[in-house]
Amino acid sequence: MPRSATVLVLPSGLAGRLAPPELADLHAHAAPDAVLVPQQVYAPGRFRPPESDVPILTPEGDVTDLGGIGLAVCDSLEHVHTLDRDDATYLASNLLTVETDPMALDTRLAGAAAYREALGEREGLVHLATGVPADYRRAWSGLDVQGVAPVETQGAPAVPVLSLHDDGTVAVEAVRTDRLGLRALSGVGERRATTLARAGYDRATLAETPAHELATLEGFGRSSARTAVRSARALEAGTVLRTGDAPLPADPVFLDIETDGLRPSVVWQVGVLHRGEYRSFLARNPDDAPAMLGAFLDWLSGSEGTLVAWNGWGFDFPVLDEHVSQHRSARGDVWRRQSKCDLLQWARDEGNAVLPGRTNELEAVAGALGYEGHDTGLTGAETARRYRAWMDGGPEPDWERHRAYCEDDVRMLADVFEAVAATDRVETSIAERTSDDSGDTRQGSLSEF
Amino acid sequence: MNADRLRATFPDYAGQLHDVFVEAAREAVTVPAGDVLPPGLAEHLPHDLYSHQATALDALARGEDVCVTTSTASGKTLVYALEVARQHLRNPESTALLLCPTKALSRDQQRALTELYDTLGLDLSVRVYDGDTTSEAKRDIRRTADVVVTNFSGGNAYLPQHSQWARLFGNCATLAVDEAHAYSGVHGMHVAWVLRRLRRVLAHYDADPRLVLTSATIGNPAEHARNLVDTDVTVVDDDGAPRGRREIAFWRPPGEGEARRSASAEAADLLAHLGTGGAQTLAFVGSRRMTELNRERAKEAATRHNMGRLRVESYNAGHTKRDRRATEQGLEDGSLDAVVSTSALELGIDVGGIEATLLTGYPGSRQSFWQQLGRSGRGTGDALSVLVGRRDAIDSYVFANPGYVLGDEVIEDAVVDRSNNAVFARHLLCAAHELPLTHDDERWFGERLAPAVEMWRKAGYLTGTLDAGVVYDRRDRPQSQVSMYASGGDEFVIRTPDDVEAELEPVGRARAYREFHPGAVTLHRGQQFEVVGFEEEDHQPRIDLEPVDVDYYTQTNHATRIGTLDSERSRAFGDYTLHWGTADVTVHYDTYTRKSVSTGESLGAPQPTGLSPLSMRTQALWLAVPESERARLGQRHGVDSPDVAFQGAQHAAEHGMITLAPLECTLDKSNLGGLSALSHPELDSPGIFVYDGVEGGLGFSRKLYDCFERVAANTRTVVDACGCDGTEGCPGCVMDSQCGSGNSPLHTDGAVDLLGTVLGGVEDDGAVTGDVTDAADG
Repeated sequence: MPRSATVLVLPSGLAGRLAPPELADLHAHAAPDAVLVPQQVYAPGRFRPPESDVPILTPEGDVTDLGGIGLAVCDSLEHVHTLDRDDATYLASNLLTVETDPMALDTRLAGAAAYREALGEREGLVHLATGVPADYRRAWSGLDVQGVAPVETQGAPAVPVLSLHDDGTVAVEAVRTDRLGLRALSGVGERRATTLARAGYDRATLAETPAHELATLEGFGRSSARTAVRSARALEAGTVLRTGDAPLPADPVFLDIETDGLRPSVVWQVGVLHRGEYRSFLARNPDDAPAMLGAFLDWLSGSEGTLVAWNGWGFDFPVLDEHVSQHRSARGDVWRRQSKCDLLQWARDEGNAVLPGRTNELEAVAGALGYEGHDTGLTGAETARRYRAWMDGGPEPDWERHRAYCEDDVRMLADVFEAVAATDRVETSIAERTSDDSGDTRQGSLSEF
Repeated sequence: MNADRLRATFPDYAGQLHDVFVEAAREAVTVPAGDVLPPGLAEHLPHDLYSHQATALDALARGEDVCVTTSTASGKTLVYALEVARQHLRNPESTALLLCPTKALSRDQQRALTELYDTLGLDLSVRVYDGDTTSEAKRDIRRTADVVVTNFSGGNAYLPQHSQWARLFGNCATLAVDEAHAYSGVHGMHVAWVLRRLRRVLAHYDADPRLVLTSATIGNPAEHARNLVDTDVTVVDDDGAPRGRREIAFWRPPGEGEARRSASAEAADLLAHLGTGGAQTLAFVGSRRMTELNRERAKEAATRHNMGRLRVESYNAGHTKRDRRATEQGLEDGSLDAVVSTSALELGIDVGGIEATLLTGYPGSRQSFWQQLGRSGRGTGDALSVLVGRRDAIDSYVFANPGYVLGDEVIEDAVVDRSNNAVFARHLLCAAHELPLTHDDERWFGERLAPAVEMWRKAGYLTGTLDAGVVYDRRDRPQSQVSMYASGGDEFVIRTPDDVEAELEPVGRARAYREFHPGAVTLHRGQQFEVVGFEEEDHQPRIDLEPVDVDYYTQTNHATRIGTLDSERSRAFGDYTLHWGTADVTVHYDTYTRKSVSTGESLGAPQPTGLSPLSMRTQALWLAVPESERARLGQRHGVDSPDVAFQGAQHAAEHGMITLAPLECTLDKSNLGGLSALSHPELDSPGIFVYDGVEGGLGFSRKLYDCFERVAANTRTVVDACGCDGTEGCPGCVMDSQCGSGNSPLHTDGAVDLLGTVLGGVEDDGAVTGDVTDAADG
């Protein structure tokens, strides 16, 4: 059983901007084994809720053992040099930065030479760079660098929650700070959150509050009050609230695809689940992708039902569309005629359900509904990265692990679908809804594309 | 109205009419449509073709790409319009893309094309696709339109969704770029890269459309077209269109030297006189602020002279499209007597037959001069154009050398510099986001492809190899980081209070610092606003304005530092050495001065802006001045304070050269900055610096390096010939209202001496050494 540890990265500047309920919310969501603070810390209480005793890792001391995962935090070359690193898998520091100079068409890993010297012979470490955004990973001639700094998303910083695995795999979930506490609710931004907090509401009390009570608060109308309360109920109870009565497909074919990136050049895995039976289509080499897609379309032509994907119109459907037409597949018509449903769009954009989960990512919604997947140690980004490395002549991926990851995602989708389908309580009739009901500005991670 | 009548009727006439030039009427040269077009088209076209239209259509028929560069209103649009029609008859599935510089022009062209296809009996759907198009309409356009009209900001934004455009792109037979001369400088760089990205995506869909560029007259149409579209084109410049008789009056405001009346005040009086006298007039001014100011002044002048009510509006790109549309309509239907506009109305927006144009100062280029002139008297009607001279070096030069603008000399070159790595690299990211990059893409991106890919790979933006395909690897869209009018990314939105009806379009960072710093007073549609908020740290930088009513405007002062010089080329001029290369430039817009609206005098001490300095790495030229010259010029021109005199000489030469640079290439002088150093640590001597005012550079300083002798000689002539008293210069020669050090010190005699010595270094001993690359001393 592979070992892993969950680490929250929380620079003190960011921690200072979180209200206590938001900090508590962040911890409740991430359930970290440790909090990594890249600076010296004088008041650890700013980084964890009062009742928590989760360790705060700062740039001092030795390697910390997080259930078999060794992590050290350094802030000087001297510290790197003298550290007893035998038990460490991960070494976090502010000593490496990535500097890009577009005028000179050059990117360099600043600080690398001195760092290497201080490090000496020790290999096999993953270097967590606290000044580099958490969506960064690259091997710099022997130095495996993973960024762990907050990533800016649509103007709001997102706190990285790292899953550190003992084989060096790092999966990153970025939790937007404007999605914590009251701001996790649909239609509630900074201003409304402040209004609600001043009026004495938190998420739990809000879930119990009749919507009309809020309508008297500044900045709330009937529609926004209703949206906020519904969202609080869904989030607090970890349930789906049906708000519309558009039917779901009666015979769903659940689908997920794996690609080599967000703007993919290849679709290399298609996973489908139909009437309980899971099928996986895999192209180990990009050259095999057209044949793989052909096999998938062959299978599809023989099965009835509606394809269901999460954020399908934001990613899976247009990507498949492009690749099917690119390969000029003889089965192109099968694809075009196939009926398709995007479950996220159906719920969020078409106003048929309010979903729990801090974001509209499938993992977040499924997690809030209590679905526990298998921890394959992979994420969409990581699978893409590994396939690309393979295309570039790197190590052959563990195909079985990737197959399992894709299957897990598809089954997660099926579970969410079932949860939604099982919720027959329609909160409101169609007639009651106003156009403002779509005020949820939350985005699925890929729908920005 | 003509010049004689203007002289006879102008209320305050005091000999202002300096010169009148007559451009004779010209007969059309035509070719029967049937000689060029297939019968199905020719028989429906109600007129013959002008010779240049026929030549261009013939070239297109031979499979050549063309650039049509003829006079304003010579029917350039008809070239691509008929090419599209011809392609349509050949293959009804074929489509066309037309790229216009502005949204307003897009709609104008849509109307013109739709009318034409109606006349020709063709069922062609011409649709505008831009930021104002609803998403429903967009879907419909992608599915059904035959001709799509858009702009380059749109092109940049829509390319990643190319699979939705598969029908339009795959069948694209004509790609037309309208008003190609408008794409120079920083905007031109972006346009050149967007066009490469677009052609790359078209090639992906196996489309190889014919390219049609239309352009006002420029000096280098073939080079410019190649810079923009990366293909050799056939230039068609033999104008067959007729024109009416035009009088061009050079009008010199009354008074002498410092006491001379300002051109804009004089122009306001002329506008009131012409507009109320029944001659609908379009007045061009140099800035948005001036459109508002002169609208008020003209109204006031009409009242002062009891001329009756003047129906006048202002027009500039800061106005909302609805306001602009209303003003265009007012010109067309005659409900306006006069409009005061920036160059925004210079481009081919159809506003009907205006009788007179009024140019408040030479617009900076011969090409703009003719373009603005051409807005009056469309067709064969007679027209009047008045150039009101300013008190500055370039206008002095033009008034003294009218042949320069009126003669057959070559028009300025349009400059598009693709060497700016920062802008190139930005567009390369977009290209990778649009389609995977491979080695084949060197065709579009040249030798910098591999190093730029490597840079972005290492930075985590791109992934993959050029053998298998490099793709974009981040969540955000790189297209949204492209600012089509700046080399950096950030744009500031401008907000006004909810109850004030004013919408201002976003501005780039440099402009925000220069014109919208805290405390700045700006005029918009006759309403003064003060900048009360300047927020740069937020995700969306913004400026907040409050309406105010004050009797002053503000002028920003700045201090500049320049260093880390890296010389790439150099030439010796005697003991002087001229360099071109890159440098770090830091501009600090640190204070501003309040100036009286009525007198222009400073009111009180300069106020701090509170802004931090702006830094950039850019292209620059610098003239290293030998220490011996510091001693010689100083002693000769300033016995008491030799260094002040010497610095004045350098400073005056620098100002003069920047002012006269637009005589050589199409540039906005505000994109050039200058600095004179008494002793520069990296040169170990004095020096004069001229730099491109945007990150990464624009190619302007490079162009100046190449034609340095001509610019230096022109500057020497103008400064020498200026009639101003003393040696401190005047706005007619070396004073510059944007000078960061308040035009002090300046020494005109010293500048003439210095430039003469530099040029003497060429003439006397032939010491020009040619290019020396990588000169070390930089």
